[in-house]
Amino acid sequence: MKTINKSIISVILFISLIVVPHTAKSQITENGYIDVDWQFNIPINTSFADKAAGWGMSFDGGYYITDNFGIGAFMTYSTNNEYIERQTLKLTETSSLTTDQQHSIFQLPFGVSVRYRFIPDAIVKPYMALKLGPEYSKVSSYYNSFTSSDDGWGFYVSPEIGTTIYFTSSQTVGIHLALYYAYATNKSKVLIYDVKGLNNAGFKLGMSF
Amino acid sequence: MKRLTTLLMIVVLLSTIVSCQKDPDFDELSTEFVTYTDYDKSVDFSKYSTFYISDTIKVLSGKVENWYDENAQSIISTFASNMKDRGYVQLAKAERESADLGIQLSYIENTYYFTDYYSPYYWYDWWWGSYYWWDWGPIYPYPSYAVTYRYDVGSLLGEIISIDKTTEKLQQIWSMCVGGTMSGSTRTDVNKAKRGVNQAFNQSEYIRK
Repeated sequence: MKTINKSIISVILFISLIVVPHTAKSQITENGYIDVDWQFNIPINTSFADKAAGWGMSFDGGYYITDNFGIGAFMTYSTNNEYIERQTLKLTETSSLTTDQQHSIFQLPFGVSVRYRFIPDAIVKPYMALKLGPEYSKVSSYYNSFTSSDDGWGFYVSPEIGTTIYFTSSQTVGIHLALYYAYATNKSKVLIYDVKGLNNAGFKLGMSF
Repeated sequence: MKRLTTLLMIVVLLSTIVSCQKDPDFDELSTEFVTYTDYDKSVDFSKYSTFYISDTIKVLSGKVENWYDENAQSIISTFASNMKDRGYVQLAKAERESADLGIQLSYIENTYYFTDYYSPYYWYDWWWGSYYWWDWGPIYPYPSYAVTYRYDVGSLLGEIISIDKTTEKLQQIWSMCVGGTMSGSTRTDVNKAKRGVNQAFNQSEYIRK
C-alpha cells in the first residue's frame, strides 16, 4: 500500500518536474498534450479476479496534427486482486488441491493512441480516443507460501471518452477525467482457472499538461 | 544533454512502473496448510486389504534423518486411523512382508523449489530397499500433474505403494503433499499437519476397501 502510493506520487512529481518548466506558456508544446492519471479499473467477468481496484496509473501523450485530431502514445498499468475462500480444486482427473487463495491480475498495455477533441479553443476540452497496442499481463494465484502464475502478451484495444479542464487562460495545467472500456486478447491458465481475454472498464483522474 | 535527460526520464519511469504491481493482502490468507493429492486412476483401491506404515517419518534436509518422537507418532497415527476408517487392516512391523500396501511419510525442510515430487525413486531406496524390497525392481510412478512448488517452509509428503507379490513390483498409487508456512509452534504445526492428512483423505474418497 505504502509502496504503491509512493510510486504513484513519485511518478506524478517526476513528470510534473520534467514537464511544467517547459510549459510556462502553454501545453507541453503548442499542440502537444500529456495526461498523467490515477486509474480505477473494473475487470468484467474475468472468472479470476473481478474486484475493482484503484491500483493503477495511466500515461498518455501526443500531438494535435490538426485542431481536432491528435495522435500519440500511451501506457497504463493496473492490478486487481480478489480473495477466494478455501475450497478443493480438481486440478486434473486425478489430482486435487485444497486451499484458499489470493488471485491477482496485473495488466500493462501500451501503444498508440488517436484522439479527437470536439472544442479545441475552449477551457473544457471534451474528446474521444482509441488506444491500440500490445498488453503484457500476469495472472497469479497465491496460496499459503506457494504461487502459481502465468504471464503473456495479447492485443489491446480501448475506446475512451474524456475531458480536460483548464482553470486558467494560459492552459498550462489542467484536470483530466476519462471513462474507458478495454479489451485484451491475453490468455492465461492458472490451476483450474482459464482466463480467455480481459475485459475492463474504469475511469481515470489526473492532470493534463 | 536533452537526449540524456529524456533517456533518464524513461529509465526512471519504467523502473517505477515495473515496481508498481500491487501484491494482494497475504494476511487475509488462512494459515491452514495446503493439501495436494494425486492417484493412479487405473488402480482399484478396493482390492487391497492390508497396509503397513513405517513408524518413522523421513526428514529430508540435506541428509536423511528419522523423525520418531511423539509428534511424528501422532501424525503417523492420524494417517493410519484414516486408512483403518476406510476399511484397511494395519499390520505390525513383523507382518509387513504380507502387506498389500506400504506407506511412507516424509518431511522436507528448507527446500525451495520442487518439481515432480511424486517420482521419489530414491526414497524407496532409503527405506524399502534397505530393509526388504531391495531386489524387487523399480517402482512405477503414474503420470501426474507437473507443477513446480516452492517449499520454502515445511512439507509433509506421503505415498501409498502397491506391493504386488506376484510380479515383485512396487507401484506408487497415491501421493499427498501437506505444506505451508510454519508457525514456529511445533504443537500448532503438528496439529495443522494432522488436519492436512485428514483433508487428504477427505478429497480422496476413492481410497476405500
